[in-house]
Amino acid sequence: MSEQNNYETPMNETPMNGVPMNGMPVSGAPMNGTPMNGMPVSGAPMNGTPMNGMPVSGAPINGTPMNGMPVNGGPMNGLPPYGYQMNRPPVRFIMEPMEKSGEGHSLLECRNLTKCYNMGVPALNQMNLRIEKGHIVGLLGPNGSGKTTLIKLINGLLTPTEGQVLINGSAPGPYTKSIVSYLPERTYLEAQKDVKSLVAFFAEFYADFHADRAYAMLQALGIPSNARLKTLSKGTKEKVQLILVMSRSAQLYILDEPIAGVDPAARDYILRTILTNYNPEASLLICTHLISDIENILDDVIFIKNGQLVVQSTVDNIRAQFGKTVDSYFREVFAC
Amino acid sequence: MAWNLDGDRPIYIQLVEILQSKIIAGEYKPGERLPSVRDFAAEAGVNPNTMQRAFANLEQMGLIVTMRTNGRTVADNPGIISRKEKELADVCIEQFFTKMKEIGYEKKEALALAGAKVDGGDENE
Amino acid sequence: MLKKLIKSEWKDTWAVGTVCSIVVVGLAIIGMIIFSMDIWRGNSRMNDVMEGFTATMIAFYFMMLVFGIIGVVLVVRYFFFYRYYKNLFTDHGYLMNTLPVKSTDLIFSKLIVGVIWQFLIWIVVVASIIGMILAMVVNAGEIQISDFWDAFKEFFEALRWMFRDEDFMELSPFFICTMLAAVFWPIAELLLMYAAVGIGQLSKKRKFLVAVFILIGFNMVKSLVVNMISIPIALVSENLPSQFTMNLMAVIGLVITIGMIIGLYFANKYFLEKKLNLE
Repeated sequence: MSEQNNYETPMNETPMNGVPMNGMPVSGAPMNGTPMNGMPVSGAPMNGTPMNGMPVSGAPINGTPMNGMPVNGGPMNGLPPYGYQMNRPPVRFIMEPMEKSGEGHSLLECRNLTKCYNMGVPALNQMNLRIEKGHIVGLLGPNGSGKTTLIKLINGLLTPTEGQVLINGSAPGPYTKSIVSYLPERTYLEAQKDVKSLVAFFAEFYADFHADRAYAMLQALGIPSNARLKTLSKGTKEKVQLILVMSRSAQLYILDEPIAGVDPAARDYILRTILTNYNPEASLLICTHLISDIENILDDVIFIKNGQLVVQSTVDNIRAQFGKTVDSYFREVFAC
Repeated sequence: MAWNLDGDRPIYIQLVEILQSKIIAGEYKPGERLPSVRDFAAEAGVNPNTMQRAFANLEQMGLIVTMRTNGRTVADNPGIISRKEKELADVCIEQFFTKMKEIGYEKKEALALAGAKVDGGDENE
Repeated sequence: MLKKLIKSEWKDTWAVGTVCSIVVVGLAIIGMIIFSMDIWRGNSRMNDVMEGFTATMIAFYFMMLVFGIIGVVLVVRYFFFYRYYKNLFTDHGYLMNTLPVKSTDLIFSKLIVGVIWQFLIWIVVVASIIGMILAMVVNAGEIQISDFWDAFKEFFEALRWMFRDEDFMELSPFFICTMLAAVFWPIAELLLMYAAVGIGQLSKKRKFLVAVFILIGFNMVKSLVVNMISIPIALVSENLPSQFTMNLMAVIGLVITIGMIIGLYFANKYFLEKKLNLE
């Protein structure tokens, strides 16, 4: 650590997620007299200071595009008007690339990933995305934006029309399925099976599954292991599914709406479980509509619309830049 | 129960504030070992990376020290802590004056009111 | 992984085949009891009414037996048709298709267990029928089990004599091909059903219903093809020795069956890997 005066100089230590914050002189901000009640720190993005190497021509608040690309009469969020051509990627707000893992492979990489169903409008259109290990990422977007398609492509349940999806450098297959732990949105376990045999099933097929972890969590939630799934309530079923998925030591967890059908207390438990199982070698991709519930536990967020990436940033960047929660920002970006 | 955090400010800034308050208030004494980033993050209900950033900030401010093998401890430096205390107090006072100004009281008037309240409170005890 | 899948598949499906087997065996036991009753000897001590009643019951039983056997065979067959769909293409597909296994392993595990059950149920049915015949014959009186055994031996001798006209070598191709076809044919049938499911799941709604129609279509095409092939052969072979014709048809049948197996296997692999359409 340098012995600089901590109050005036911007923080130039790189935090875990690789984003240099040297455009944001906020470290020690509370200490030099600026009020701590949320008002923008002087020199911060509100007046156009570059955030992290990305030129921002004018603050986003006044409607100017965020990365210099012209937007014809676009709304505050910089998104192009409806009916715009598919080929040009829309305005994006992207942070610096994440740190890569050892062998030079990103944990998840999508290159020009495109998926068309039946010759129609592409569900995913030239999506380029990278996620490194050690991140908890929120995948957000309206219904029909391509989130489900993206998730299915990552899991090998769909094949791309164009482009590639790579997990640790490999296309979806038995290897990637062994390092990806997927929680689908629906009840996908056989209803007449009991919890015990499901745990045994996972233990059988997944080398990274820890039955003891699963049983500990089941016990903590008071779920009997002899119970057949069909006798359990919907919320309990979802908890069981989540427990099974989180009991694996996977490298990439994909959770599709993990807290949607669950009561608030259980939600807290689930989020706490996610945090306590956090492993810097792994990443989580959480797809949900309940943004405000999970915002605090996310590192980064990804907004998807019409099959394209429109925002990729950290939660803190969005809050610093726009002074609002990701949830509010989302509502702006995707206002109907 | 997760910590109560504002939605419109970066989380790590708020974590810095909260942790700072805890240290100043003596919840964690100088030289005391702090829980790990992960445990703290789980307790606060925030992302461990964000908590890590807050810790890094605190370290830069000199409030905590990272030891190679033993994790993080509160800096064994009562001087820094009392200095921070004073700074926090300063900020609070500035805030008080600002708010009173909004209502319509200048600094001297605000001070007088405050003084009266303190004396009045003493009398009632 | 394949072994694990087979074990899991077996665990999930053994109940159906077992219940069906029990049904068949149960019916057979009833049959054996019936056949050992006195009325067959003609010297029953029942009056006419009772005899009439018993005769009706027996006729009823025979009806049940026939339906039972046919039903059981169909159930075991089409259960695996439905199972392939349910396990891989409904919501359970989210679990099965994200397991760290190859798609070929998924197909094979189901194929192997399905084929085993086709054979098992046939064995059970045949064994039950033989059991009943034995009971009937033994009960008819003078014939003993050893007589039955002698009768079998004579039967096989007669077969051998029948084929002794031509070269003994001629027997082999036909026999071998027929035996092999008997093994391969259920495999091809099952793969055909799987392919019907593979196509059916491409539709948005009522995937299984579509699969059923496709299977019906496949079967119609199959009959058509069989006829189209055998008629020319029959015509062409009028001048050829019957032995040769039989061998030829057996070989052609086997080749087609194997061709079907290979083609359908790749088709199913393609559907599972590239055309998966989970809801």
